[in-house]
Order: sequence, then structure tokens, then C-alpha cells
Amino acid sequence: MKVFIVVPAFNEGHRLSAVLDDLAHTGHQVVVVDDGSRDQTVEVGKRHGCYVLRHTFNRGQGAALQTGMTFALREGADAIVMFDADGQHQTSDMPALLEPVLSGRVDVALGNRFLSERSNVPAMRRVILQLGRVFTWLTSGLRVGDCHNGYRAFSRKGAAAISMKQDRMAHASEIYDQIRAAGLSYEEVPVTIRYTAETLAKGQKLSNSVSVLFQYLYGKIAQ
Amino acid sequence: MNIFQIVFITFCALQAALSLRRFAKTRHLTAVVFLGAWIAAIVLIANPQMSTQIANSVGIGRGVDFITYFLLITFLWGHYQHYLRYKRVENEVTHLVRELAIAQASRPVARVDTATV
Repeated sequence: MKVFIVVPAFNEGHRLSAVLDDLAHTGHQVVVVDDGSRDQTVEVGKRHGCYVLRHTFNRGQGAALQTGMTFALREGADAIVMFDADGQHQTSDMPALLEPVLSGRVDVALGNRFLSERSNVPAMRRVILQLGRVFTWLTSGLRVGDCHNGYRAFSRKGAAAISMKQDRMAHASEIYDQIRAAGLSYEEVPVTIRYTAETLAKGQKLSNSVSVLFQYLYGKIAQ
Repeated sequence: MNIFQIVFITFCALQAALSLRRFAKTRHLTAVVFLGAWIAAIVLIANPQMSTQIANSVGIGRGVDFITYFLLITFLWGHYQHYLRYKRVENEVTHLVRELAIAQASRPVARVDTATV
């Protein structure tokens, strides 16, 4: 089974090295998609023996993930895992995340941080994510226990059915819509998300959730 | 005819001529729409009471209200059309950036021990 791990990265050179060191132990192919960084992200990816794709200029995380997925599919991937470059995801969760997909039980495995007792989700973020869950249920009809969790695994069939048009963070909501629209089967898997002061500083701000909401709604209008 | 009407009618007439010159040969429908809009503006400026008559005929009291509603709807429609075009261009740019990234993908070579770099 050919498994590709897609790691979108924007100015993550300093944190990426440790993440790629971890991923090297999985034995899977790693695709770093540099989203127009101005730091040494590309060099770090090359040094770690990964496929490195470079967006000429910044297009957003959704665009970078889709670039990695398209590339992996063309390289003959049987399964694709999305993995954040900031160190929040744990490679130790990957076998459990891949199992439902590689066994052929489902098309998509969605990481759920609330099923893992080791996730240290800040209280405010917990509230926002719960609201996001309700929003996801209302808009896509998917009753998921977590939302906007970037740790996901797709079978080849699942990945081929996904075509993200939302270039920025609203892709995370768009994925649910497409899972539903394509009739893909899915399963939620416990994953641990570790928040640190650094990841919270660079990661999604709570105030961004309103912006993401508008991106999503505007994107729906434009479809 | 007062000074306001002279200035604005001249301006609208010039714009109508420019629209005609710009679009007449290539985009006929656009030429007709722009020409129609400028001529309507000229007629309304030359006959200020006409907007009130139109307003009354559709159940709106004042001519200025009718024009405000009309402009608001036109603006929103134009904004929406521009947004659709913007999204289309954004998607095309992303598609190009993606294909370029894939075409120039750097393939894995033997891993370099980070401790020695």
C-alpha cells in the first residue's frame, strides 16, 4: 500500500524539521507543500528526503492541501494523510487513523481531538469548536464530534472525490460538504492535538472563525 | 435648463459616446446596456419630474427614493458579478500555481542527516 502524507507548510522552517524527523519513522512517502514561504521550508523538506512542491506565492492552506492530494494521486497513492507542519499532530496516532481506510472499511477517517483524553484543548477553543460542530451539522448534514481537525486520512477513492475550491481555512468546512455530496463513508478516530503557546500564537485565532465563516458562505454563493 | 443640468447632461452624453466607441465593435450587448443607462440618465436629468412620475406609478412616493432603490439594487448586482469574476480568477490562479508546483516537484533523494548539516 502506497501511503502519502501531505504536509502543507507556510513559513514553518524552524518547526518543520522536528515534524519531518517524526514522519520519517512512519515509512510513508512525505509530500511537503511549501505555500510560498520566505524562510527555509523548502530546504528543510529536501534535506529530509521528502517530495517538495512549491507554490510560487501564497495561496492558503486549502490550496496547498489540494496541491499535495492531486500530486499524491498522480503518483499512485492508495491512501493520503493530511498532517500539520506545526507539530500539533502526533505520528503515534497515524496507524489508528489509517486503519479504517487501509482496511477498506471507510473512504475517509477524520481525527477527533475530543475522543482523546490527552488533547489539551483550551476552553474557549472548545466552545468555538462545539459551535462549529453544530454549524457543520446544519450546513453539510454530517454529525461529527469535532470540526476543523486537520488530521485526516483518505482512501484513493475518497481523495479523488475531494476537490477543494476554498483556498484558505474554509476548506475544512468544504471537505465535510464534499464528503456528504460524494456519499463517502467516514469514521472518526481519536487523535491527540497538543496546543502550545507557539502553535496558539501562529494557529487559527478565535476571531478568525468569523472570517472563515464568511469565506465559506461567500464560497457557497459563488458555486 | 439650469447649470447643473447642462454640466451633467454634457457629462452623460460624453460617457455615452465613449461607451459606444469602446464597446460597439466587440461587445454589442454591453454597448446597448451602457448607452441605454446614459440616455436614461440624460432623460431623467432633463425632466426631473419624470422620476417622481415613475415612482408614483410603481407605488413609491418620491422620485429620489425610486432612484436610490434602483441604484442600490444595481450596485449589489454589480458587486455580486464582480465577486463571481474575482472567485473565478482566484481559482484559475490557484490552478496555475498548483500545476506549476507539481511540474517542478522536487523528488526525494537520500535523506541527509540533519546533525551533519
